[in-house]
Amino acid sequence: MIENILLISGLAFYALAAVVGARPALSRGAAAGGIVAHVALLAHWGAQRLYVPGTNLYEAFVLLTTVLMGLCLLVDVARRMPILTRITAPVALTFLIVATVAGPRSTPHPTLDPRAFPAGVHVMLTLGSYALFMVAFVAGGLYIAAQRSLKGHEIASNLPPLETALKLNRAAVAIGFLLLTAGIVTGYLYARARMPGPEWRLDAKVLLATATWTAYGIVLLMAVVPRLRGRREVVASMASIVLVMLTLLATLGWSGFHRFV
Amino acid sequence: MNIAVVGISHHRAPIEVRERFAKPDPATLIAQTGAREGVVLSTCNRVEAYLVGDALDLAIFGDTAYVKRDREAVEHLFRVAAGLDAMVVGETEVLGQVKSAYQTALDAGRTGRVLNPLFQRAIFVAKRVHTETRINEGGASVPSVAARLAERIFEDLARRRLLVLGAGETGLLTVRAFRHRGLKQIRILNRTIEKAVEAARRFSAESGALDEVDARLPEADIVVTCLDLDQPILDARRVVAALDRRAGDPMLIIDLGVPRNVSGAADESDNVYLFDIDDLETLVSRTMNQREGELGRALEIVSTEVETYINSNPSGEVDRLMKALRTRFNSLQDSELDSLFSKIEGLTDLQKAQLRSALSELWTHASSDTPPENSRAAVERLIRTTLP
Repeated sequence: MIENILLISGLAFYALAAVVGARPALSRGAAAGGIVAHVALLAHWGAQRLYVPGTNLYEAFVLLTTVLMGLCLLVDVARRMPILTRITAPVALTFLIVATVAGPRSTPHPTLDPRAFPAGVHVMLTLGSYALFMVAFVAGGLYIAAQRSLKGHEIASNLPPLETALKLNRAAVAIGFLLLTAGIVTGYLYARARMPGPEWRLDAKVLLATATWTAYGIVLLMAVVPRLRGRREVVASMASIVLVMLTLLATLGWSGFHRFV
Repeated sequence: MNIAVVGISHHRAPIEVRERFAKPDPATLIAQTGAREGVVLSTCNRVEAYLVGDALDLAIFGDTAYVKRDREAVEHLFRVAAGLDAMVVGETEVLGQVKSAYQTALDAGRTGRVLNPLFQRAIFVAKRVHTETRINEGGASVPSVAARLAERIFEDLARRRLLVLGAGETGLLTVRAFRHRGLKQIRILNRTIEKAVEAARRFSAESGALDEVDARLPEADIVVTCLDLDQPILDARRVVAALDRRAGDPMLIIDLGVPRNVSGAADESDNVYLFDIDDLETLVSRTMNQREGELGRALEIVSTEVETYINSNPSGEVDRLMKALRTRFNSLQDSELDSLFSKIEGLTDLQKAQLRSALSELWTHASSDTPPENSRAAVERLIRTTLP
């Protein structure tokens, strides 16, 4: 009962944040309401099940969208970028609706022991990195839109300055990359200790996560090459989100031991 | 309310007249009018005195002055504060000037129960207009559009470097707009070094000769060119070379020259944003059209706020009560006097009228501690001479 109340109130708040996007204060308030509801939901799950709630699609998407909305709201308030909350709220809402419709909610992962210390940390780190890559994607979109407007000799006053969007994109990629690196290391430590045989190395999610790590590593390198800085670097960071999405999708079917139930 | 505004502005008074009153002494001006409260607002385009008093002398600005009272005066102040009466509709500078004029009067003790709430409300209304409409968006002149473009690229102009090629007046006006937005690091290059030095002195900038351009270009985040040349001074090759030396950081180029000083091909680089004079003028005209479009909404807000203010302000309420009381007194007085006069024989119409008028004047001054001696004496004399 409490789960449904918290989930639905969070969804309603995000929907409100998306609808009233043109009124920043109201939109921020609604987003904050949704975050509080879903943090309470995650805490409730954590207390009830004694593991980090992120081992099925439903939990993972609640965790992912809460981190995503939290990050965007934080940046919005700190840098006065209401468009960030306005854009992210519908994205979070879509993810949550998909998770609500698609996934069973309470069965822990069959192969991964979610109570083991590195497994919980691994889940937190990787989902945190995905949320940051999504922030980078949104910031990249804002950069491209602002640049298009300037190149078209227009002034788009609802978009952030190019420099702000680029800094946010870079910061999100850099921190996301660090978290993903730490997530991969903790996953490796867990797998080496718990998994029999080397087969886990060829798991679809492991391979896709490695490809994601490589792609964002390249994006970071592009930021220091003069001719690749700016637009090209941003486009590369936005394109890399495809790998993040594929990595998430892998947990639905392709992966063996990473599969969500 | 007893509020009046008297002033001269760009609408009616020529600059020669405005110049005469450009730097008024508020204390002297208000003393001349005999006002109890007064605020003097002085901007580039107007000098106005907002006054409160019973018998104001409003002939302080001569024949071209306008005078508005009560509701009209309130509406005028709201419109002025919101920038709706400005030469460039929607400009926000005037709000700062209204705040400053009010603060000066407040500090000098020249405001009271009428002007304090009025000016505080005017500031609120101006902010409401700026927030709820797009009347102040965009740049209303070429220099301000140039500075706004820079703000769409860079976060903090204070940390950016501006390179100006040419020391002409148009370029220097643009420098002023950037300076106004906090940009500090400025370098001016010119063919005649003396002119560059002189211009640089005006803006605490650095100066140099035009042949330093290749050395200085990579340092610049913003470049303003306003040279009289037959051929562009900055071509794509030169700009790309500078961009490489600044590690791909973006560069905004504002080309104010006619013929153009910068080759259009320079814009093809991802991180170069080139705007020529036509681009800037298009943006200015778009802004002005947008502001005109927003004017209706802004005036609607002002009109609603005037209504709310008139109906709710404390001094207005007292005035209305006093007026109602006076009407009631007059009507009671008339009926009592009619009844009295019918019982007294021999009173002429003139005597009746004098008695009515003297009593009426006494009521009018009932709120003051000392009714005018003339009225009191007239009533007593009339009673002594007319009543049996």
